[in-house]
Formats: sequence, C-alpha cells, structure tokens
Amino acid sequence: MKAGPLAIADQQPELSARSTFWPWQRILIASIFLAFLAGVLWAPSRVTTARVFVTLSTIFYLAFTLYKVLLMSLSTNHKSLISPTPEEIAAVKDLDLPVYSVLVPMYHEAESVPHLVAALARMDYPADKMDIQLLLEEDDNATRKAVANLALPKNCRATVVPDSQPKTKPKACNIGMDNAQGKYLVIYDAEDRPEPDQLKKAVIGFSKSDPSVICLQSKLNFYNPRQNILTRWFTAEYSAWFDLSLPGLARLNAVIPLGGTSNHFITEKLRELMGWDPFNVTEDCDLGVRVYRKGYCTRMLATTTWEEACSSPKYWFRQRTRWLKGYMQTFLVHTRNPFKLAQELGTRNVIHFHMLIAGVIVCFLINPFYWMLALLWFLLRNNELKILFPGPVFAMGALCLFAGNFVFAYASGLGCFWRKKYDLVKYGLLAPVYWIMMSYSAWRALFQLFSDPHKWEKTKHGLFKSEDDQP
Amino acid sequence: MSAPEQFIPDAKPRINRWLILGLTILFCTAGISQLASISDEAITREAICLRLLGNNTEGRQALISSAWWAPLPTLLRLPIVCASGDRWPGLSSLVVSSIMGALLIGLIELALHSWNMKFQRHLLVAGLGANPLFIEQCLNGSSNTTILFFSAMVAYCFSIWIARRKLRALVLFAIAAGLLLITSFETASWLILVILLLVIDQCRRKSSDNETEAVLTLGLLPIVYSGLLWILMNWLIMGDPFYFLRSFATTSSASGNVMLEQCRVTGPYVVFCIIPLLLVIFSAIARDGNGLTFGIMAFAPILCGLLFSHKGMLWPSSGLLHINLVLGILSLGYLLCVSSVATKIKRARHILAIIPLLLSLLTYLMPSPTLADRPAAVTGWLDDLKMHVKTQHDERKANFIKIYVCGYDSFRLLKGLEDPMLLHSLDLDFSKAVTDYPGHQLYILVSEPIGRKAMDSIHWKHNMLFEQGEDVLLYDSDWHGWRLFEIIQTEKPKPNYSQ
Repeated sequence: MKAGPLAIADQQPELSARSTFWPWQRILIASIFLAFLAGVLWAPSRVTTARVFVTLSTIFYLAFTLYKVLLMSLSTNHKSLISPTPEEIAAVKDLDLPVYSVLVPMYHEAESVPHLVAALARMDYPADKMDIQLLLEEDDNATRKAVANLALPKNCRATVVPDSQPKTKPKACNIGMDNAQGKYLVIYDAEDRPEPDQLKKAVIGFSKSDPSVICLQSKLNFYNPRQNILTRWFTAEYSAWFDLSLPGLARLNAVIPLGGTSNHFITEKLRELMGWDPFNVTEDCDLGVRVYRKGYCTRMLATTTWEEACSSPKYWFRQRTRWLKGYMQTFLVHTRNPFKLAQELGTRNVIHFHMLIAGVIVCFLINPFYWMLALLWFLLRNNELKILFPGPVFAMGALCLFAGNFVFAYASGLGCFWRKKYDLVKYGLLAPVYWIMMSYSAWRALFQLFSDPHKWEKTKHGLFKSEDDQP
Repeated sequence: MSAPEQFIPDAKPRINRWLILGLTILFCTAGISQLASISDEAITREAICLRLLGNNTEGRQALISSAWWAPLPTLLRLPIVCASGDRWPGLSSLVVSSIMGALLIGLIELALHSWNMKFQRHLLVAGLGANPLFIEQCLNGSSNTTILFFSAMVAYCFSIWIARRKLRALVLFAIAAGLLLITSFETASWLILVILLLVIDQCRRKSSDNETEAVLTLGLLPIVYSGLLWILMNWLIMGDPFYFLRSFATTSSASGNVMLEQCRVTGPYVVFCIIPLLLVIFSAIARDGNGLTFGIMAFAPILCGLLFSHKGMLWPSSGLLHINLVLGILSLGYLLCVSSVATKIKRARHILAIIPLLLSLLTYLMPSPTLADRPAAVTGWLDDLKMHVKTQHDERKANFIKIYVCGYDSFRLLKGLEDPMLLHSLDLDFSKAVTDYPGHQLYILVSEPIGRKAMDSIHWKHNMLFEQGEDVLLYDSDWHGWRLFEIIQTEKPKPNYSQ
C-alpha cells in the first residue's frame, strides 16, 4: 500500500515539522526570551541574570565536553561497528541475496549522472537484484534530459516526482520508497561513491543483527579532501563524527542522528515509520530519532561512502544553515510532548537526544558570546568580568576554555589520523576557525527558522572535477 | 639497530573498577583517622583552593606562579574543596591521593595483565601496594600519587605505542604526558627524554613524512599545549610569561654531600633502578629495539634525579625516585613477559616477581627514608608575632600595620585566618607595597629557604635575603623558621619650589 509522500505530516502531524512551533513552544520561547531581556535591561537584576546564564552555559559546556570525550573513548576502544569479514562476503551466494532498492534523489545535477551510473555499475551486487530509482523532479528538465540521453541499465529507472510543495529531498525519497521493490533500501546522493561491497555488507549486517536493528548507517567521508582548506576542515569534521563519535553512540545503543546518505533500511520497517518527514530539512536526523521512538535501533556499518565535500564557502554556509535549522526543527518536533518522548526513548536516550541535538545547536549559538568574553578578558584584563564568574564557575569556565576547546580541536586531528589522512592532521587542529563559520551558520539558521523554516538551501555539487584525488 | 619487532600479545583486559573502588575506600578509611598528620603540601594546596574559590588574586597567582607548585594537583582538589569548604581540612587531598593511588594500582595491574602476565602480576602489584612509601603517600594527601599515576600511564601507553602502534595508546600517552607536566614540573626533564625516544622510534620506522609529522603532532601537542598554557597564564596573571621559570636561576641551598644523601634516601629502592638497567642491557644484546626503548625510558628518571641532585635540589630527585619505584615494577613485568629474554627466564619468573614485595617488606625494617624529618608543628605563634609588632608601636597605630607573609608556605600558615594585618604575598615588590599602603608600618615575614621553599619568588628575587637582609629591610626577629623584617620607608623628598 502506498502511503504517499506526505504520509507522516498527514497522519502523525505531531511528528512532522510542517508546523514548526506548537503554541506552548511559542509561549515558552517568548517567555524565556522576554524574561532574559527584562533581566538584562533591569539594572538590579542584570548581574544575577548574567550570572545565571554564565553558570548554566558553563555547566552545559563541561557536560558536553565530557560527553564528547566519552564518545571518543568508546569509539576507539570497542568494536562498535558491524564489520563483515572478507570471508563472510565471499561466502554469500548471489542466489541468496535479496532485491535491494537504491534511491538516488537528484535535482539540478545533470553533470553527476554519468559518474553516478558508473559508481552504481561498480557495485558488487547482482545486477538483477538491484532496483535503482533515480528520483527526478518534474521541473528539472536538464537532469531529466541527461538521464534520458544515457542508456540506463535495466535495473535502473527514472521516477519523476510531481512538481508540488514542499519541493524537498525527503518528499522525493518517500515517493521512491512507495515504489521500491527491494527487501532492503538505501539512499545515495548523486555524487556518492559507495564502496562496491557495501550492499553485501549491509545484507550480512542485517542478518547478523538483532531484529530490532532496522537501519545501518555507513560511514561517510570525502573524495576531495585536499581541494582547499574548507574541504580539509570538512573532512576532519566528518572523520571525527563518523569515526570517533557515531561508533561510540552505537556502542551505547544511543539515538543516532543519521547522515543524509548511505542509510540502509529494512524497507518494510521504513514504511511502518512512514518514511521521511518532507517538511524537515534534515529529514535524516529526524528519522534517526523516530527509529528509536518506535523501539527500533540503528547500528554502524564498517563501510564508507565517499562524497564530494562542499568546497565553496557560499554553498557551505547554505548547506550548514540547512543542517542546523533541521536540527532545530527536529528538536522542536520531538519535544512537543516531552513525557511521551521520555516514555518512548527512555531516560538514557532522552539525555543522548538532548546532548546530540540541542547540545550542538546551543554550543554553536553561544560560542561567539564566550569567544568575545575571552577576548575581552585577554585584551583588556577587565576585572568587572570577574563578577560574572563566581569561584567555582570561574574554575569550570577556565577548564572548558582551555581543556574543552583543546579536546574538540584535538579530536579533529585524531579523526584525520584515524582515517590515515596524515597530512590533514595539522589542518584539523585549526578547527577553531571552522567553528566560527559554524556559529555564523547557526545564527543564520535560527533566523531562518522563524522567517522561512521550510526553505531548502540546495548544496551545489560537481565543483570538484579532478579524478586524481581518490581515496 | 635492526631490531626484530617484539610481539606483545593482544590481550585486552579491562581496568578492574571494583579493585579501584575498593582500594579508594580502603585508603580513604585508613587516612581519615590520620587527617591531623596530613602533609604540608596538602594543606597549602587546599588553602590555595579556598583562595581560588574566593576568586582572589593571590589564589590565581599561587596556582601558576611557580614551576615547583604545578597547578594540576591544586585543580584536582578544587571540586572537593568547593563542596566541603573549610570544614574538613585535608579531606580533599586525602580523597585525591587515595583515588590516584588506587588508579595507579589498577593501571599497573592492567599493564601486567595486557602483557599476558599470569598470577605473578599479583605479586608485583602487591610489591607496590605494600610499599610503605606508597602507602604513606596515599594516606597523607600528597600529590606524589598523582605524579606516579601519570608517569605509569606515560610509560605503559608508550610501550603499547611502540609495540602495537595503537592510536589510542599514542593519545593517552600524549595526554598523560601533558598532564604530568602540569602536575610536576620536575618530571619535565624525564619527559624530554621520553619525547626524544618517541622521535627516535618514529624515525627508525619506515613511515612516510606525513605520518611522522602526524604522529609527532598528536604525540607532542598536549605537552606543548600544557606548557604554552602555563606560559599564557603567567603572562595574564603575573605579567611575565616566564615568571614561573625564574626560580631556575636560584642556586641550591642544600648542604653536604648530595650524592651520599641521595644514596641514603634511595635505600633498598636502588634495586628498582637496576631493573630498567638490566632491561636495557638484555635488550641491547638481543637487538630488541622496543625493549631497549622501554628500558631507557624507565631508567631515565634516575639520570634526571642525579641531575637535580648535582644541582643540589633533593626534593625533585626524591620525586623522581618514587617514579622509579613504579617504572621498576613495570620494567620487571616487561622483562619477565615481553622482552627477548622472557622465554629464557620463564622458570625464574616466580622468584623474580617476588622481589618488589620482599623489598617493600624489607623497607619496614629500615629507618624511614624521608629527606627531612618534619618538625612538630608549632601553632599559636602568629598571635605572639602580632602582639610583638603591635607593642613596638603606639596602640593607635595598630590598624596601620601590615605584615606580608611571603611564599607558598603563607597559605598553610594563614589558612582559615581572615586578619587584615596579615597579607599573602607571592610576588612582593617593596616599593609597590609602600605605595599600596602609604603611612603604614610594613613588615615582611619570610620562611627559611629550605627545599622547595628556596624557590619562592621572594628568594629568587632577593637572593640571600634571609641571611643578609636587603637595603630596604631591617631585621626584626625570628619565628619558628620564619624571619621578620621591617620595610624601611624613606621620606619622600619635599619639592623645592624655589627652583
């Protein structure tokens, strides 16, 4: 039965970002903002308000840093990945393999089509058991023409997504899911280059896992890390996230915010979840949370999909803004009924949810404030700043400033080392510059959340032309 | 050296949390009854914590202004002092030293276990656990257990890194080394040697330039960062980035034959110096690069200790001697299980493994090898001193008397006292003191420059002050190892308006 592209929004509106804020959320946010504003503007309470703010954010920083250290420690120490061995892969018989659906949503990506078809042709999976759908938007004539001009293999078909609102990737994916014929389903972006044995690994991974595992997330990394400084930082960030954080989360059986591509699902279970929320601009992260809310879980698969890192600052800001706005949407959607969330996720996972989703947002939003404060202190040695930091808060703040920032920068370098991209280690250590860009994007995302919550700022791909810099 | 790579069995034991918890409780319980005899260092550090929590300048100065009072042991006590306040003096130090002592035993056990040492490892662990020096340090709130823990961590992770090239080991090595530097600056000399070994080890491998650069970046960054942070803090708080290192210009105050003194202190622990040496010799003969590197690293503290002894500084060499106790045990484990001679001495393993335990038991029969007997604390003399100063002046002037108590010992001396007449001073400038308190009678109280106290800024700024005074100081009186001087204030020349 076809659920339709807007199923989740229509049937479970409380789990969709169609409406960004619920009334009580609006009231609460406005109240907090007004209370803060009043506290700051009314002279007698100014210091107390500032102290409360500083104390709470310092505690948060400390907790967030320790959380990051814990994840890194678990990621490097334990076998948290599902890693089928070469022998296991070789032992799989083609006849036993199920049909695998591959969805590739595309929009204004005509130049990626030949690369994509070549990459999919390299997959080590029986061609007759691959059900590939290129999801093309009705108004994207260029891509449709490029696909039409190419002799597509038999297992590959183009599915046209009707031109309607919202015009988002998750909507296209939902249409693809409705038409999928495979037992399993995976999403790839047009510019992706998955490792050839990834589908077989996923099949083995599902067969070895507990029935509650309905999703396997592959690691993501980039094939153009050395294109410019931005792609170097991006690679360091992805390496730290996919190699040194997500395996730790999997180990803890914590909520895993899915990456935008290379998520392998059991199709039937994905349909049960009603697919992706077409109104959420990070539909992957939202789906990752819903997987756990339904009592299922996600595991990490030891395989990598190589993507193109955004090399243009302009498009990078737009992409990052969308991601962070999506995180905000996801947080708002899932906290609409906090008690139900706690009931479905359990206390431990609620903490993970807040650390992973709210933590990231808060961190990037308040960072600029603390950088300015630190700069003022260093340059002016202003003793008046001391009143904001009572003794214990000062100690915690200093720890976060000097140890916390170091941990995050060091983690970026470690990620590169872990990926054996040794020459990038030193760039990973320059991550603080990258964080400034992230904070700018976070504030941009916050403004956009109020002004244009469903705006999908498309990332421009195909900026990397060289084939030499392959993994 | 074309060394055959030694295989360290990839056993993956886990740290025994229950052992650590049990030992922590045991040490704390045993130490709680002896809180009155907590070490001077512990009391000083707790007093600094209280100042820090009070957001006072002298607290921040005390945290970073001396290489001989490294900041981390103070910071580790901070959360407990924050929770307990001044109600249980010595408690935070006891808790920290107990936890670190328990962690150390847990780490040694883990290291020996990961080297596939069977039940003999319990003998080695017992050798450390029964050692009177170690027990004393766990119970008296000393920072030495912290130093020992980080040193053992550096050594163990280094051994794993050179044998198995595990990134996790490199990271833990680097972090432990960075933390060790800000726990005990005395160990910097040893750390330099270890870093040198890391570089040599990296260079003898045929890895790419990029990999070498990455290894050294990640391996050295925490140490460099710790050092730079200390420098930055000195610049921000003291106004001089290298303030904490200035004491190195001071000459030693130790007297007598330091080498003999060292031997007296070393006592039976000299065996622990021999074990790494044996490891070095055997590994060199067997052309075992990893064993040789580990042996040199474990032997290095002795060399550094001798260097300090040669400079006449006995307390850092004593600290390094304690490190040697731990590294000696680790070296013995390495020698018996991992090194190239391990298979040849398989039968003698039990006998050799019992050596540390026997030595520890032997130590109980010997006089306590401490550097200096701690004089019985004399209390109440500060009131006498104040009275003495007041009686020298008109009663009405009593509110206009200030006594600067100099050096780190001032924190111990003035702990819990809130007396406007007595002021802490870590960075005293006589002329500034006069400007700060115009019209006051000003005094300074200086401790005798013995051991670590000789490194206080008042002594390196005014060398021989205690013995010979200064131009602007007038000797007043002696007080239980302290000396009181009055600051002579010359009258400002009156402006001559006729010119």
